[in-house]
Amino acid sequence: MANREQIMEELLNKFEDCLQHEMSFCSAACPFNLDVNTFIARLQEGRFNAAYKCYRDAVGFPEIAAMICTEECKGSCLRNAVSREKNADGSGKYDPIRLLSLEKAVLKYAVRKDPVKYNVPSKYKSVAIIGAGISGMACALRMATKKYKVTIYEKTDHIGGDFTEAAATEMAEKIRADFAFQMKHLDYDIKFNTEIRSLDEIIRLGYEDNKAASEASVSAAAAVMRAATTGSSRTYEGSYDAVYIATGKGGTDLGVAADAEDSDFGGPCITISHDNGTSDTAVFLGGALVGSDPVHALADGLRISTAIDNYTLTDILKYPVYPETEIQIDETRHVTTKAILPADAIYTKEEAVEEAGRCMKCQCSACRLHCDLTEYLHKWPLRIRDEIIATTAPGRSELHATPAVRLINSCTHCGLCRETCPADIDLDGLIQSARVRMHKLDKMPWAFNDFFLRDMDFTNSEAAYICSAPESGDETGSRRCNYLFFPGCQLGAGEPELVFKSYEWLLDYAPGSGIMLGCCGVPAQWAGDEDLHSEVLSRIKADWENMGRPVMVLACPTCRNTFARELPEMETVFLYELMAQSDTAYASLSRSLPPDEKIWAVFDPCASDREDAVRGAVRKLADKLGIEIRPLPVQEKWSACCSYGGHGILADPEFTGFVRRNRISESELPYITYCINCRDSFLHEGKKATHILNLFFGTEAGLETVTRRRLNRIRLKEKLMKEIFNTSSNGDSKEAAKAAMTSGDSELITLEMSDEVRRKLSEEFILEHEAADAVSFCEKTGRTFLDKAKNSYTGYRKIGNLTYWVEYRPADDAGVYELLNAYTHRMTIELEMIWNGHKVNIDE
Amino acid sequence: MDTKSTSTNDNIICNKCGVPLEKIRVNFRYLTKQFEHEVDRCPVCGQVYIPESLAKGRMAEVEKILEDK
Repeated sequence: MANREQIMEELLNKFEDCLQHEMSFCSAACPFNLDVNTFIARLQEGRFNAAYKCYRDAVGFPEIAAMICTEECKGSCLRNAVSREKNADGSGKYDPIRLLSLEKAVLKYAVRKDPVKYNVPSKYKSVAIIGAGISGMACALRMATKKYKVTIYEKTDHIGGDFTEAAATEMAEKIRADFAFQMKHLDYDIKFNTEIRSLDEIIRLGYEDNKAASEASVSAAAAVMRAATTGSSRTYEGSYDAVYIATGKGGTDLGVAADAEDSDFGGPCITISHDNGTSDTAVFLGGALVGSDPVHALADGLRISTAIDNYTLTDILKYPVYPETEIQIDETRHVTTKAILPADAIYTKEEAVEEAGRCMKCQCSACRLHCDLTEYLHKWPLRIRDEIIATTAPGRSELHATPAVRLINSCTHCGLCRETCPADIDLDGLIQSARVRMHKLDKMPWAFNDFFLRDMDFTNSEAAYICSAPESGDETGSRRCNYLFFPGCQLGAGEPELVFKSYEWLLDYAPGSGIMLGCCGVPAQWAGDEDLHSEVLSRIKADWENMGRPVMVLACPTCRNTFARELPEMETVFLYELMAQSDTAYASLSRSLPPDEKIWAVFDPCASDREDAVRGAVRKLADKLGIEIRPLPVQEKWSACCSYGGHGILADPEFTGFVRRNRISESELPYITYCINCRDSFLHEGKKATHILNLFFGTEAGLETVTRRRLNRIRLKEKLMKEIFNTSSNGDSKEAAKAAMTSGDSELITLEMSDEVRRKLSEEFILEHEAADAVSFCEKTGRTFLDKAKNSYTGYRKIGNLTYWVEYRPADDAGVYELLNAYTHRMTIELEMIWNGHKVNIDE
Repeated sequence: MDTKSTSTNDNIICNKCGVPLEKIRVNFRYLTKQFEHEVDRCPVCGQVYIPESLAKGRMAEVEKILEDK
């Protein structure tokens, strides 16, 4: 296994490429990069004032922007793209979201429009703007809002520039009104009838302007005060910090364009340095002067203001660019809808909300469309990453938050996040790395994995483990084989007969084949215990090599994944593939199916991704059985987990139920699975489901209790030893079997219980002999509580980490007890050592 | 041991001491945390009674909080 720390680091770095925050197509097309998703979200809630604020903050002058908008968003709208594709013959309409109409509705219905009056201290930086057109005014708006000292030089006697001159009077009035309204709280100086003819002139004016401003605005006393409180006597120094030249179409650029040609500032801008040591002056060109149409001229002014602000803060000069988006949207979301058309010139409020409702608010959500966990938690992967970083940081303190403990232990590791991510981010891998790190840091709550690790220990113990093959007929007595059946830990637990019959079938198909009953170690992997997992794999590898490195015949896709990743030298094949290939095999399938078992859907397990051979084989087998298979389009393409993956049930049982219900909701049809854990997950939810081997061998699918699942594995081993290998279990395995089915004092009594209690124990992962141990202990110590009404006794015993409570009453026969109830808790009752099983002598 | 109040379930008595239970402080431990809480306990021998409703209710909630810490 590679260096886990390094892997985790690389996985974390990949999140830099996450597209979650990429702009939507329309936002990127919009010259103002309006945050359409927020705008629409507010409209969808009918919040016109909030939508207005969003729009105003993006465009500066909302009335003007709505008037001159060229609707560039329309061409990029996914609804439009879909329609265009669908209507290639030119028949239908393009139906992009009518964003401009929505903006106009917002302007009409918003009532709280007054601009915000920011109480921000002066920057003591000054900006000159040449040209009071819409571009210059936009720049002035933002610079003045940020408390730059703004001086606008306009060669005519009015604001609005080219645009108002060309526009009709009424429109020009509206434009001027919007300028006045949006800037009503702002300080700026505008000098009409002042034409600037050279850069030298504007620099000289800057000196004069700043000097006058310093003298006028700062009295000597105030300067002393400020020096005393802040340690500096800030005032305006030198010439303008920046000049924005927006002199309109055909206007003068004062020679800046030519000077900027060889610069690497990314656009028409330069800096002018001054001999007296004061700050340089940055000069930008923009608006119609550089060829922008009105809407871009307005946007230029806003962008230049940001560039100026960046320049004065960092001394880095960079001409603003119109950013692009790398957003990617899952094709399943390409659905056409029809535009809502306004009955009148402007939408009614209701129409606007309805039209906004059509917007998909495009955002890369590839992973979230498929991931149960992010859906359940309503969390985005970037947030999950941050929570994982916090949770897996070394150290422990009251202040140290570990918000992702449960999340990390709930992930089903279906891998769909990785497969669907356009940026190849592997959240699944990160969560697995986090499990490992938590284990190493001793931060993993034992309760999440305790049961499954004990189950794995049991499966790989002498009680249930076997690796053998029939003796070869030759004199060597070798037990080497070409095929070794590895059914996995849970098939023999839930369906021992299916393992036995499958092995018999394999012996018929390939005489001399061996069998290995054990666990691939995935519970250790999910517990984050890499050392334990390596230990398990080493034994499997050693036994596999002893058998002559046969082809492993698998029944569980998770085993396949584990071996492919950890033991790549091992050749594997699914049992179902062999069955589907074999013509002779179908002789055993000659039973007729009842009518209600004719039509099924195949549920492909999450671990079967890219396993086309086994997917095909299972369908072929079903076909040969006379079963009609109907598709599960989503599960076939994006195979999600049944809920078993990651063993999250003890960390978050509610999430497990959520996942199960998600899976069974895809179809009313009964499911055929080829992973026993998928089948059992669905049976638990009351969904009709069966294993392909149930159908193959004509047996009924049913659920076993956790206790029976142990016993089944012990009996399966015994049966194989006796009936296939003609030997009886040795002393070691008998001892191990006894140990696996007893606990402490459990053997001293006989425990009886109703089916209902038996089921409850199983649901709560309580083994029956553990309950018997607790009853026996309570009887031995006499430490119980009597319920006078129910005539029952209640007491507890701590076994391993868990505390087991039992309610019982003695039966008529001596040594026999009836169990009425049992439950556990994870907390330990302290300072009662005598009573929790560590000491038994009550007089000690 | 301080006797605070009587048990909520009158039918339950300590089978060894034959006395009704009382709410008495008990020490608990889970993961790295130790804490105290008043639960039903025999005032004579001190054995602790945790009904299923407590184990599945408040105790499970606290377990969850400590696991998430």
